[in-house]
Amino acid sequence: MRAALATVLVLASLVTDAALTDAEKKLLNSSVSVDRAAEMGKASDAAGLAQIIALGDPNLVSSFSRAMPRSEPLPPAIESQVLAHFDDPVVGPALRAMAIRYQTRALFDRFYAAADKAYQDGDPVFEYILRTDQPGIEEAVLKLAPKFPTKPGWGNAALNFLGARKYPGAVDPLIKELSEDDRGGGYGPALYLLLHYDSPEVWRKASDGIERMHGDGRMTDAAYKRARTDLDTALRDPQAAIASSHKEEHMKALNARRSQLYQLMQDAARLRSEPARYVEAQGKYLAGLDEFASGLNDPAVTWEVAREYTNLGLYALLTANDPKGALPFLEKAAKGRDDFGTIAFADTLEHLGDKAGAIAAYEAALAAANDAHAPRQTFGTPVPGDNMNEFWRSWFAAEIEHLRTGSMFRGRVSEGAISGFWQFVILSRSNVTTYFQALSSARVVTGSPAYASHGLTNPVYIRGDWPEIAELYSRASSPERLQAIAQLPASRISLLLTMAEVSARTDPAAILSDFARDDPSGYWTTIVMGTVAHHQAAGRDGALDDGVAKLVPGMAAPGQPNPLETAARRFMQSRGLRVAEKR
Amino acid sequence: MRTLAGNFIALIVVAHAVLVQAQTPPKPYGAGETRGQVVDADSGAPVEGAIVVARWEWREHRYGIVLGHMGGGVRSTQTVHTGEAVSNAQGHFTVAQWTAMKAGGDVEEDMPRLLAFKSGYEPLSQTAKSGNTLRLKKFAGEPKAYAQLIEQFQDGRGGLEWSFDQDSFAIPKMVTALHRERIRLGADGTAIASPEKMPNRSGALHLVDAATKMEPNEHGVIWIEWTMRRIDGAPGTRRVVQTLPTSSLLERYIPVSPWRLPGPQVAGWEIDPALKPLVRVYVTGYQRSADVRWEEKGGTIAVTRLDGSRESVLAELRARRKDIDAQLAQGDRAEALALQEPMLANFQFQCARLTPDLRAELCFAVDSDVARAVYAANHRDVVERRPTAPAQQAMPMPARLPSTIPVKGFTIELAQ
Repeated sequence: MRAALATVLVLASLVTDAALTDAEKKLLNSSVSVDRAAEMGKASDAAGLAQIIALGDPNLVSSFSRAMPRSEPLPPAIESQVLAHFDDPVVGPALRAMAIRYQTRALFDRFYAAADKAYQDGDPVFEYILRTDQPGIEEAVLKLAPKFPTKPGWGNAALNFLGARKYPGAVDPLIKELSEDDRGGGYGPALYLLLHYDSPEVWRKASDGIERMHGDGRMTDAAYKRARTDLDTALRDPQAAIASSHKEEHMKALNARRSQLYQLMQDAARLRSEPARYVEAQGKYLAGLDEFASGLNDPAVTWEVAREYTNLGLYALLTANDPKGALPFLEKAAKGRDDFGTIAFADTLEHLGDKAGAIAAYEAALAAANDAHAPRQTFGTPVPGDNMNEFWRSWFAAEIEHLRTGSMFRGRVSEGAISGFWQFVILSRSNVTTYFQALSSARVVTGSPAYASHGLTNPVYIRGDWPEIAELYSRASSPERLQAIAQLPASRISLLLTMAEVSARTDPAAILSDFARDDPSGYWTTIVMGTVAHHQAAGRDGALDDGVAKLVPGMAAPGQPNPLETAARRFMQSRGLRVAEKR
Repeated sequence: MRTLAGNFIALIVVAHAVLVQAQTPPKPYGAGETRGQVVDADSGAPVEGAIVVARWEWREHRYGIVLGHMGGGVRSTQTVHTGEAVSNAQGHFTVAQWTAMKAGGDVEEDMPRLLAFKSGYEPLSQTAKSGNTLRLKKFAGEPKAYAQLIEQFQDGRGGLEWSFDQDSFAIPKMVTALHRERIRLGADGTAIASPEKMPNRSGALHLVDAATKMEPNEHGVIWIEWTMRRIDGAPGTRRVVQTLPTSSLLERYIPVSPWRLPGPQVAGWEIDPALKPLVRVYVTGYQRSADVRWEEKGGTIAVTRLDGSRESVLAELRARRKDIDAQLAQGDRAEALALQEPMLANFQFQCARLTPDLRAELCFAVDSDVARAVYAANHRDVVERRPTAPAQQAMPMPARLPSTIPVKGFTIELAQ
């Protein structure tokens, strides 16, 4: 509007050749574009906001507001302007909407007065007033609670706010809210909030309340049963309930911090196609998250952040092809006890030639795998039947031995360890391909690896047939694929990613050379080659039954023996190993 | 293409015809009592309760080229007089004598035209040339065909000139009889023209914003206070308030007519069309309108927008709640709930926008009979509109794909 007016003024002056008045000149000089307003907002420029307010354009205020950093409290110089122009009929609404994480009692009082006068359920003041973390407003919010909109399944926003603050005055109204559960809109948050008061006294009060309400027909059977069960559980073991509640609160706090850092995350996501810049930007975001998580001192929270470090470390390793750059992130991931991050860290150190560092990392991993009582079982539990744990323990030990002595692996591998290795390969491969787009049809995702969730659709879990394997072999042996895998750094993570292509090489020596590059001790190679030899001996259809043929489609290569079988035979012979079939 | 000169000449000719009409002095017309009998065409037995309309149809004088006729006179949709009567137990009827002054034409030959109707018989139209005995034939076909026959009787050649007769108020008995027949036939009777189609009887309510003179964009409710009479003719009246949503009709106006179907559903009672209803309009965001004594020809109601303040909105809602409560307190509550349904739905809709504390003070509780009635009405509409689910087709289930098994069955050992 103002831009249009300015244009008209300019055009008018050109056409009429008349001098502009002082007021017109001032207007032209003070004109602010939408983009400029956004820039001012991004910089939290209070003087800029004052200029926009003077122009009286609510759209510019909104542009300023949308661009403001959400992670920090509202700067005092901006909050004071919201306060000063709170009731301005033109820019007031946009300024009130701007007050994210406001800080002063004065602004709360203005919102309170507006909410007290509000008569419409959808009045945004009911949202705005709660956008603060300042203490001491609970009593006032409780007084306003009956005016707050309630939605089935969402409860009353004021009571939810107070419940989250564990305000004692909200206990009775929250208990009363339980009678709204299971009335067509599902279940509201009242029970959850009451359980998170971490107070057996509150739970007993809630328990009495639901008995009373159910007794006089104000509570449905289903709502009562649900509340009864959860309250009984909490009252039976209050300490466990409180511990669980703390854990949830920590996760909630972490997610809140993630929301605050949303802008940094978005900035990084936009750079995903520029590896070096992405690593830097995402590292900045993770540093902010990590700093907060450290303060909570909760292993579950630390692990959450560790998973994100793993993601970034693998991106730096595989996509940015920067093993050294990946190390700090992978180290953080290992410290946070993320399994994939731990092995990637140890393996990267090993490939970078940091023998001592690699030994220490593998030893730490082995200790974790051997610890049956750790709060988080990073590598499973050392009990019979946990095949993946058996694999971890035997591989870590073999790798430590290799690093210490320089000798290649030559020894027994148990049935459990073999089985555990392939379980790991099947579960992990899909996640790793995410980091190297040239080989993956999967879209790039910013989320953390989630082994359990993709298991149901993992193609390796569906038995294939030889024509399908032949098709996989044909694709894996294409020159483009071979060229693409050559770009990857030496790493077992690379091997996870390229095992299909390596197995499809036509030269047995090249197959073994590629394995040797990525797997210095040869432990993984032993299992892969041993498995190929086993299927060669026992009938290759077994490789369809257990899915190995899909992971190493070189099994479908022409020739008798074919290059992969030849490589397997050579490898086993060179290491003095044999496959022992179990009857 | 017509030329300017051609248009000018046509204008002169028409103006001349009008001038000739205007210059002709009115002449007296009249007739004594018109007597006759209605009998069953097959049995010859008298038919009691048949409505007989006698029309003395008018032939206008025209000199010049008017409506394609040259000189002399043309048949018109007017009458010089229309009367009606009801046959007695012997089938006899008597239309009262009359006199009138009229200019610009003459009564058609062989007048009056007699038009008779009794439910279950084919409607009949004949001129005096055929005598005054009206032989009604029983109708034996399908209800829809009967309705079409009545529609011909209303607007076909030699019919009642339903859509054109400016003197439609002269035949209240025939209007009521055909309206009742339309009700009796229900969905099969839709061909029968409603009296709303008659000149000056549409009841069209034009709703305008008092300030902008435009139609308000908000939903609203028309509140119509009818006077009802007993269908069986027994003495006594009662007042009934019917409410209609303004948003459910696509027309640019809302018909407020005693003939509009469905009317207020009150068992044993029907609207007395002779008594004008009181009409009021409630539009969301506006002050309720003043009460208007409604003419059958329709009219305009202007509504004034509220200033949007908390006080004005709440005051208006409180007034509406008072009006609703007064209606629900009268007589049969279930009947009142049904009649007030659009009003209640509109009120609850506005209530839902209020903060919970105000809802608790002003609105009907969620477990009240009002809230249940509104809920049922809203969901009844959905259920009625929901199309029938297509027949389920058997889909072949994909064969279960075989799963892989864990790698097992061997170990790796040292060769020696």
